[in-house]
This record gives sequence, structure tokens and C-alpha cells, in this order.
Amino acid sequence: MSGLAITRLTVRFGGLTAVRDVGFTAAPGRILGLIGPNGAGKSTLLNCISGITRPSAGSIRLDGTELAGLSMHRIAARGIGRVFQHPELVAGFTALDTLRAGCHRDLHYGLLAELFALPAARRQEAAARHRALAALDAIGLAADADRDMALLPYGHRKLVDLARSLMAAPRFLLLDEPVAGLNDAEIDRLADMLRELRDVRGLGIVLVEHNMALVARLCDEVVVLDAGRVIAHDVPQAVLRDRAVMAAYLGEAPADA
Amino acid sequence: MIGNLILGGLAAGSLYALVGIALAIVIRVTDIPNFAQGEMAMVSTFVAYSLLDRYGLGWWAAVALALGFAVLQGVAVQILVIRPLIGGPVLSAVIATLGLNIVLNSIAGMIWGHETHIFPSPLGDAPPVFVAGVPLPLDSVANIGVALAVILGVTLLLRYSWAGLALRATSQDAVMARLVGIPIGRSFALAWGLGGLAGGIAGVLVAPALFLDTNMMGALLIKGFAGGVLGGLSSLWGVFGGCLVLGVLENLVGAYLSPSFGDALTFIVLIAVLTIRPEGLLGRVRMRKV
Repeated sequence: MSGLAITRLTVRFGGLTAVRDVGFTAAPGRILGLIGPNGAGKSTLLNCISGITRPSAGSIRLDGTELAGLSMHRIAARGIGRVFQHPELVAGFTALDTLRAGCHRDLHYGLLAELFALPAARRQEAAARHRALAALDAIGLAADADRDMALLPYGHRKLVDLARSLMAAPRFLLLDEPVAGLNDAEIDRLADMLRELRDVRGLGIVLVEHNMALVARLCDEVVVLDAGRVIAHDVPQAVLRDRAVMAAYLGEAPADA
Repeated sequence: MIGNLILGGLAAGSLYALVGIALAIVIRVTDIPNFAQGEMAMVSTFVAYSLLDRYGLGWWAAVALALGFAVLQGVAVQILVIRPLIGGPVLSAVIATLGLNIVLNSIAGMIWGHETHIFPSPLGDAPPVFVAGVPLPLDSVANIGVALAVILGVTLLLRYSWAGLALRATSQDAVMARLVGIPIGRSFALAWGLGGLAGGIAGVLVAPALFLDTNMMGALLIKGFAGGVLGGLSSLWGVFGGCLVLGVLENLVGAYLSPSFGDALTFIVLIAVLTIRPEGLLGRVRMRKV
């Protein structure tokens, strides 16, 4: 079974059930939008997939392999990439540092080689650095390599962080409100990049987003969460016309309820 | 006279700084003040002593092996003692390091006895060098040079190596680091290994100046702490500067006020800094993101 399959996933925090019996499958080469009002459980769901939050019940499988219960860096190593809402990872990191931090998949030396800086470790690190520079060049930000992330324009920081997540060659990418705070030109650029990742690299993308115009033109399918449940799962045009979805967003009782 | 006191203070301060750096690396990455750092250094110095005395190795070979041991000792302590306590209150880990402090001291006593030993210095018989007309023992100059080299080395490692990158990321936000894919368990182990190395270097430099015995690092640990707090534990250069200032002050106060007041000064500095400027002179306040 290929793809990122979420089955009967439930997350309880004490007495509060943040995610209830959620199931859907994100397929490679498709962009799945995850929408819903605030508090619907979207971020909790992303955090579950990344391993930050342990699910109370249910399973998360990547190509048939269970991810629930693995530690965060193992999940990352299996191919689940995460793009951050606030892309300034570490104070004092340059753009190049940020990209190098994503290169863990290139590094295969042991703790001893790391501790004593053996040649194998140094060689692999040099290769990772080279690849990070090439990636910066590819997004047209080579000139920013040695600049502090905090001093870059916000849109550039977002691009650098997206490029950072790609350094680990993920199979699926989780994005939490990637275009919040970007201007129209920057949104178009990011949307183009995501489409290219989908179509050229065959990445599966899960996108949590409040910008409905973007969801409508970018996503292949949309899952709507409300109060922890899936209330709709369809192509964007159908979902955005759905009465239950409008009710959840506008706070009206569905006419047929 | 005063030049001598100042240069002697700088040499002593450099030794404090090596212990301070060891503490600072571990605190920065794992949030744990390691009260066993001094005894860990003492044990690795005794390892060097045994290699010299019993197995007849040359000084450099014995010290190199002992420093390798110091690194592995730090990693082993992190994995065996600290790692099981991660996720609990920091206080548990702090108490574990205090316990380890006592355990290591007792074990060292059982193996090497509590009498004092003489630990040679490769520079012991070298003539003093003259700095601005002040004669200065060569090993004091070496202390300052080694401390500088260690700080520079650690700074470069943090700046340029992937391990250093991972350490910096882990020290700021462990969850984010793990999401990026950084195995933070390794960063923790590495920080303790580096701390062990810096402490071990302090041990082999202190031992020839004092005598080698199981209690030689106790005072040094507190002074490394005080100097680090003075300069700011979040900045390696702050630790270095703070420890140098402490070493010099101690010498001046000891000479002009009272020799016994030199030690009290350490605690006065510690309390004063924590009251007035807890982040230290060069430290930065760490913001916790919620």
C-alpha cells in the first residue's frame, strides 16, 4: 500500500479529544489540503504524523510501515519532511547552515567518527555542504548563503526552509500554513515550487492552509476537519461548496440537520 | 610584582576556563550543570598517571590516550546515567551528577588511594619566559595557550562541522531539531564527550601545578562555575573572560587583602552576579518559545 495512510487516528489530551477517528490516505504525486476552523485538530494531526504527539489510538503508515511510536528524527529519516511556519530555525544560523542542518541523510558515520572527526565524517560533511550550496543556487539565493537567516526577507526565509526540508529527500512533505505572511508574488512562486515538487519529483504534499484561494487552485483533494473529525474529503471545488463545510466555517447549523 | 600577580592570575584563570567551558558546553546543549565534571577530569588524569607510571608510556602518548578516555567517559556518563533521566525534572539529573561526583571520588580512592602523587609536566624544567619583563613559568604560558586553543577549536567546531550545527540546533530547540531529522541523542552524547575532553585537558594541566590526588578538582569546579557565571555561560568567550577576571582578582585580593579571602571571593562573585546580572557579563538571555 503506497502512500501515507492514516487510519482511525485518535488523539486525546486528558479529557479533550483533539482528533477523533480520522482516516485518509495521502498519495505520492498529489497535494492534499487539510483545512478546518481553528481548533479543528489540523496541527495536532501534523504533529502526530511527525511524531511530536503520540496518538492515543490508530495508525499512521508510510508505504505500509507503521510510523506511530517512532521518534521524531526516525520519522524524518523515513521520508516525512516538515516545513516550519516560522522558518528561522536557530538564532545565528546562516542560510547555508539551515540547509546543511537538513543534510542528515547524507551522513552515515558513527558516533566515534563524529567525536574524533575522522576523515569519513569530514568527507561526508564536505559533500553535504556542496549539495547545500547547490540547492541554494537552485532557488536563486546563492548570494544569501552566508547571511544570517534572521536578516533575510521573510519570503526568502520560507524558500530556504522549504529547500532545507528537501535536502533530506523526503517522500512526503508536511506544510503548516506555508504562505502566511507572504505577498502575492511570493505566494505564486511557492505554489509553483510545490507544483513542481509534485509533478517532477512525485512528492506527496500535505498542506494545512487558511488561504482558500490557494487551496482551491493548488490542491488535488481536500480533507476538512471540524472538532477533530473528518467532515468532508473530496476535490476542492466540491468541498468548498459543501454545506457542512460552510456551516463549520460560518457557524451555521446545516439545513438538513 | 603586580605584573606577576596578573599573569599568574591569567594562568590560573585559564585552567578555570577549561573547566568552565566543559560545564558551559554541557549546560548549553542539555540544560544540566554537571557537578561531576571535576571528578570525571580527575579520573582521566589518574588514567594518564597510570599509563605513565605503571605502563611506562611517554607523556604525550599517555595524555593523548587519557584524553580519548575522557571523551568516552563523558559519552558513557551521558548514556548510562543521564539519558534514563531525560524527560524528568532537570533536578533529578543534577542530583545524579552530584551522586556521580561522590561515586567517582570513591572509586578513584579505591583504585589509586587517597595519597598525593606527582604528575610530571613536559615543561617542568624549562626556563621561564619573560613577558613585559616579568618572568613567567612556561607552563603558565602553556595553560593560557591551551585554553585559548580549546576555545578556538570548540568555536570552529560549533561553527563549521555538522556535529556543531546539530549541537547548536539542539541547544536552542530540541523538538525543531528532531523534526529537521537531527538525532538529538547523539548531540547530547557529543556535548558530554566534548565536556569530558575540555575537563580532561584541565586535569592534566592542573595536576603538575598542584599534586595529583582525588580531591584536586573540587575547588577548580566551583571556580570554573563562578568564572563562567561571571562571563555568561551562554558564551564561550564570556566563560573564558569571566574565568580570567576571576583568576586575576583572586590573585590580587589574595596578595593585597588576605590570602584566605581569595577563595571567599569566588562565592562573592557568584552571588553578586546571580543577583545583579544572572545572564553574566557577555551572556544572552535565552528566550523559551512557547
